[in-house]
Amino acid sequence: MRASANPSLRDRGFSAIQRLPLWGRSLLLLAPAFVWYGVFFLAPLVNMVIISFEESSGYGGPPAPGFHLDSYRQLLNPLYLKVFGVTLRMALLGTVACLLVGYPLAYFLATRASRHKTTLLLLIIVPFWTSFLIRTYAWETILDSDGVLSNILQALGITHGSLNVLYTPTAIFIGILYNYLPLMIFPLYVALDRLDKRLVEASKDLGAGRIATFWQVTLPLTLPGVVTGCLLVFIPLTGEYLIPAILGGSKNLFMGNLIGEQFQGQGASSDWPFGAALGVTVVVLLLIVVNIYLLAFRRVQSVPGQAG
Amino acid sequence: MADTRRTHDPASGRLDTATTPRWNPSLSRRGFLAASAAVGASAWLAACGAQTTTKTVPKLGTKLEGQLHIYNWGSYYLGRDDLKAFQQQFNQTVTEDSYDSNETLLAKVQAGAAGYDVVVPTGYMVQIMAAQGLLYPLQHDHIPNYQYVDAMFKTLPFDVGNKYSMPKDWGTTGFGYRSDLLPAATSWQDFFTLATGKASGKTIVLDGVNEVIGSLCKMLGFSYNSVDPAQLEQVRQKLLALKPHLLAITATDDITLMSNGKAILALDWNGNVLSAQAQQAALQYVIPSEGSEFWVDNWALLKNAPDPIAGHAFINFLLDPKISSKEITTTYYAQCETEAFKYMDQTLASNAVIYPNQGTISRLEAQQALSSDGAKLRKQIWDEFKAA
Repeated sequence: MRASANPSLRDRGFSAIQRLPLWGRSLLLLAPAFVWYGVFFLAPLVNMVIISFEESSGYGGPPAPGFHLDSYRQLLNPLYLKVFGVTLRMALLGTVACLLVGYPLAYFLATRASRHKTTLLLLIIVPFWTSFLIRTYAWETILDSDGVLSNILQALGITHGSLNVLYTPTAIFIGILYNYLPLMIFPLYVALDRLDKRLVEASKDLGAGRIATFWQVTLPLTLPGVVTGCLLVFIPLTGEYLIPAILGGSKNLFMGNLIGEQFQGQGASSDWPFGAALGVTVVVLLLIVVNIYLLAFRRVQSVPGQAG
Repeated sequence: MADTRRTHDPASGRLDTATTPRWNPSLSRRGFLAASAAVGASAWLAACGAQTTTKTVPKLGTKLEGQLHIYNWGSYYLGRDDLKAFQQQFNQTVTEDSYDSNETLLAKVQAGAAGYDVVVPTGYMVQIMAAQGLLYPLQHDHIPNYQYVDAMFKTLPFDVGNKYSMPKDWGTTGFGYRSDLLPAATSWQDFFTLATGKASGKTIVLDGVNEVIGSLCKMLGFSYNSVDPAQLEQVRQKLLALKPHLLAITATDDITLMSNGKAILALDWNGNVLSAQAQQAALQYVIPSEGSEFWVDNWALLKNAPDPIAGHAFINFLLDPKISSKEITTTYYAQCETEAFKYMDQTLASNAVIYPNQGTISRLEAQQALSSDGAKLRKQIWDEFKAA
């Protein structure tokens, strides 16, 4: 009985959906995503904006409701502007470094690695199977003044005395380069792999040298990969929290750490509204920076010759 | 900010059974009888495991529900054996969750985290939570073991008369230094001189605004809880002078850094320095001569505790000197009952790092909840210190 009832019910359901206009059907299919983003992204974001206008309780925890601009006024304190500056500088440095190291590697993988390609790609991916936290702690051991690296360098006579890198900005930089490099390599690899090799050959046939071919053909054609890679590295880097905390010994403050402190800090050092205001500001700043960046590279999207 | 003073992980160079003999569980029958007579109605646990003798259900009106929910610092902040004994004696299932700072506790409770009975706030947080009406007023007639609590813990400014909290254990903030590498140090002034001199680059401080600013306040002769702008300005300058000499600001790696010798000077809690002593015998803990802080962690019940009766029974159980004397082998922090000395491992009882003498205790101040403006001022100084 029920078995025979089911198909008709199903049919009726289907036909009901089919009777919907196109936008209605789209809406139906998008509903789960809307609900998800609404509940877990939009609502918390709105909540953060609301909190940023409330008044700090003075000892952490949820603030008292109200409308105050104190938290935003605090932002103008040179102290916090400096933290912004330090973070942006490190994010830029990290992005450029990842690009400089990542591009040649991706180029090699896409054009020269031939049958070892899969193995090499796997080698880049495998560390990702280990937690980010553990890999960063591993660097703490490596960079330690009594650590592996220090001992090897001393044994080889490259340095005299122990390595004093841990808990410095240099250590943070090394951690960033290591952790973010794969995020840069993959989009570059995809762009280089899809590059129509005949265009490179054509360039050479027409008399361009290797260097001219790279600058005039390869690089412009892979710019979308560069743009994507830089965004993938730069955006999370501005919110980086773990690397400065672990490899910087919590004494080289990044924006992420400053925000974290406002929520997790002990006693007086936590201030939800100020943390929320910092968060809102970072989001707004990033939106502006990223839009300028994308605007500047808009023509990249329409570069011809993209195979694939 | 993670806080490890409560997490006693045997894997990370903690005192273990090799260096400190464990509590000897052979409780004499006679001692048992004498004690249970003294406490009267309170329930007791017999020796060697879980033999129950007098089982008394506290009279708050209803029966124990059979479920107790504890919200505590990291999992090594409550003895496993003691917990098991409680479960068996009162036939309770105990669920534990943990938090890593007083502020996390406050935030969760304010946000309406329901279902917890017992929580463990530090002194100043008891004051804050009680003021907000988040704590259950304790019924002292259900906690007969309160009689064992030492007088000094009954009049603490954050909860005079223990209306909302019972002391769990206490400790001090001071500094540890390597006596084999550094000249003898006895004061905060010595700490500062060493940190900016001989121990430069090998000094660590806790990642805690109250401890660091409070300690420098003491060095300059102010109150640990000072919020006076002129005084804090002096502290600010000292902090900024100290910053370039620091190896790290941490409450998570401090024990490791002291243990492996990278930090030879550390502003820290006594229990953490004690833990690192297992690896570095020359590490000395100092309660500075200018004075310092003592903190007290407390048992408290939440206002909306599902089972306040079981909560009272639990607190009473852990205030039993026979039980609290065992807790110290888990936490390495001082218990608040002189009576507990009788049953305690004597190497711990006579350890001056855990139990300083009366003269030292008189120089200690308790952390208090600060005024809102004062707290904000301290926060600004702290942020500047960290970002410098």
